[in-house]
Amino acid sequence: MNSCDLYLAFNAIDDDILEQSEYEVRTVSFWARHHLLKRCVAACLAVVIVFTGLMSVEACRKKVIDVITQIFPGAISFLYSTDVEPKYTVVPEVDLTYIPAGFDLTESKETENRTYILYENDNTQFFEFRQSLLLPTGSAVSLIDTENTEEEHFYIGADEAVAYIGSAQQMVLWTHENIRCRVYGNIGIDELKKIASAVVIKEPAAADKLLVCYAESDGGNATIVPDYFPNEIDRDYENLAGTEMYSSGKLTFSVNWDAEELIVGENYYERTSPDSVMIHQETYTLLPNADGNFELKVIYKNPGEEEKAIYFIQGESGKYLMKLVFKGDEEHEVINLPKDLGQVKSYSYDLDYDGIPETVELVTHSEEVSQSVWFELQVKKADGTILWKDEAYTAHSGYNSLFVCKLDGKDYLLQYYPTMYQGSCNYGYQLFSFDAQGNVLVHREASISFDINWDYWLNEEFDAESVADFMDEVNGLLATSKLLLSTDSALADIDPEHPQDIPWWLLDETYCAGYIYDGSKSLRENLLALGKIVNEG
Amino acid sequence: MEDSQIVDLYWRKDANAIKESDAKYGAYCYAIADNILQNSEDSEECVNDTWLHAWNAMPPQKPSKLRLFLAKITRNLSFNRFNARSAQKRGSGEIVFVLDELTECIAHAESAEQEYEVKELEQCIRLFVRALPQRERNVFVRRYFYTEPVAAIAKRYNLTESNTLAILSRTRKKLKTHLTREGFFSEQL
Repeated sequence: MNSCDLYLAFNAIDDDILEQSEYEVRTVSFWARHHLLKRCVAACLAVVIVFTGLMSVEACRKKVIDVITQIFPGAISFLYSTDVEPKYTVVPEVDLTYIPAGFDLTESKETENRTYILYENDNTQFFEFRQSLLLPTGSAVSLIDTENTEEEHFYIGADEAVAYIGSAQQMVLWTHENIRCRVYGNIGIDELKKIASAVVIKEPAAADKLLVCYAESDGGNATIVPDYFPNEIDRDYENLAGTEMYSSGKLTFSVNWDAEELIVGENYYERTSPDSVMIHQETYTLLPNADGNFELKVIYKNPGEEEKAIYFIQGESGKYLMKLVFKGDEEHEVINLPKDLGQVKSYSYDLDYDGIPETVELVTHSEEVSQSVWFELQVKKADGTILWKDEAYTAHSGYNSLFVCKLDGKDYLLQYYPTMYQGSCNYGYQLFSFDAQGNVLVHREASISFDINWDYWLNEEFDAESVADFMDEVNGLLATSKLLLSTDSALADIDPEHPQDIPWWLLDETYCAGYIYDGSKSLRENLLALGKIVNEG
Repeated sequence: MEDSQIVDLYWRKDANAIKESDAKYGAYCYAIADNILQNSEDSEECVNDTWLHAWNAMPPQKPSKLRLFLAKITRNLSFNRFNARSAQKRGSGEIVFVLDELTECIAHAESAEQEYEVKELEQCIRLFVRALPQRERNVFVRRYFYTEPVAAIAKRYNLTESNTLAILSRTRKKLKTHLTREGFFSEQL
């Protein structure tokens, strides 16, 4: 088989799939001036609905939200996005100052990006309020069933709102600065409009977590001046919207949280496409300069217009914040090596049970030529000879995490690897000690494989019970452990003194639609809840 | 004229079938051909050949979606013409990048020589594409069926180019995994 065969095989794609790809998406700004009257919304693929410009031209110019509208039979989809400096960088506190009589609060959830509040009464009536944060690097979608629905435009303060009026349920949609708001329920549009009009969105609190990036380039296209990146965008750097700069340049970052270092991932490609051959990859640490800022300077080693370097900056949560693409033709140089180069951290544990504690040392190494950093855990006998050692690298394939675990009065080493490649997971651990010669004696071990590509149709059911069993087992061991060494980005947030692991994909509410981690419930309960949604759809 | 009426003309071997096809879908088929061939003369010839092939195909075929039926004919003809060019004349059109990208989906050279049925591969691709989430599916189809440039796809769906490239890369990896699992390549050890 070759690529031509594969290309020709695409001829077998079904016609309805080809047809679906042929729609286009139009961007409509809120400050468009077309009027939309109160009327029944008919299904029409050719019509693009524009939000009315009922306000004055001055008021229209203040709008910052772009809305992309797609019309489908019986439904409208609105895609909200913004590219202006956000007023809010985390979802603000909100007060629902009008609640109809007889309704009680039954659910309330909040994350950095979303709020959800549900009220119900005893007569199966309900209304819910949602707000979503819109940032320059993200977007939000509303899909509305418009079959037999009337719509009406009005104002909530200075914000333009639209009400959708169905026989069974109704909805009010509006945006306030970069917050998208929605009130939805079955209590009649007049009550929903009153509730929406009485929503008070508080002013943003100070010191939201941000990475602010300034850039200088000695070529063209230095456009990151400034740019804002909230603390958590995505787990997978491929999903980051990259910002491109041409030619070499210097980036300066500032962060408004207490960061002693930033982790930088650097991928260097032979061609300008991100899918080209990667010829260099490493992860290293940036330390702040005297002003408390972080500097990254990129100059190319091998000139040529077909080269590209992509940098990923990791935030406080361990997730990727920013992707920067440099294309250039000058010598490559990396600055800001870790200050603790060559330092040794040392502990004492009896790991071969001869009554004499061994010295467990964590050693940091740096390669002079590549300037990459790697780590070594050495177990030394009393006479200084190495009984055992293991290495850890910051590149994905070299991740390693080692803990010292106390069990039944004895010390063990615990190696835990929550490995994932493109959603295919293999989590495992080994609890081990040594004999007098330094041979590893495994006392307990377990592993589990599963796949978190929920939308892949060939995937088997997600066995939440088995994953919960494994996580309970490993967290049981971690509860009596202390962290010695970890280069695994999945464990970047683990408490070194009281380690416990909650899988990051469980905490990422964007990873599985309809599931949000509930901190009041156990890890097992959350896994089972996720499994129910994933398997039942 | 409605598609069903044009198809009827083909079935009745009425020469107006070609005139009506050209009037309704000439530009559409030309765009598909030009995405591949990047040459107006060659593209026009492929479009003309499309009508001939459609004439020969109907009857017995009676497509319900004439536009896509013609699109597939044009695509095949254009690609065959591209392959027939000498290596020097293939140039650097979009199809070159598309084929290069699809090479990533073929696991490794040693295992790509396994025998397979063309129909099995087509069915595999068909089901794979159908199972994709809608946005990924649309982007993937525009690129690898319609051979559209990335910039055009990004503009069509109001995405950034880097986001479009990321979607394509991710989906190609899924396709590679899918082809491997379906047995078109040996599993790598």
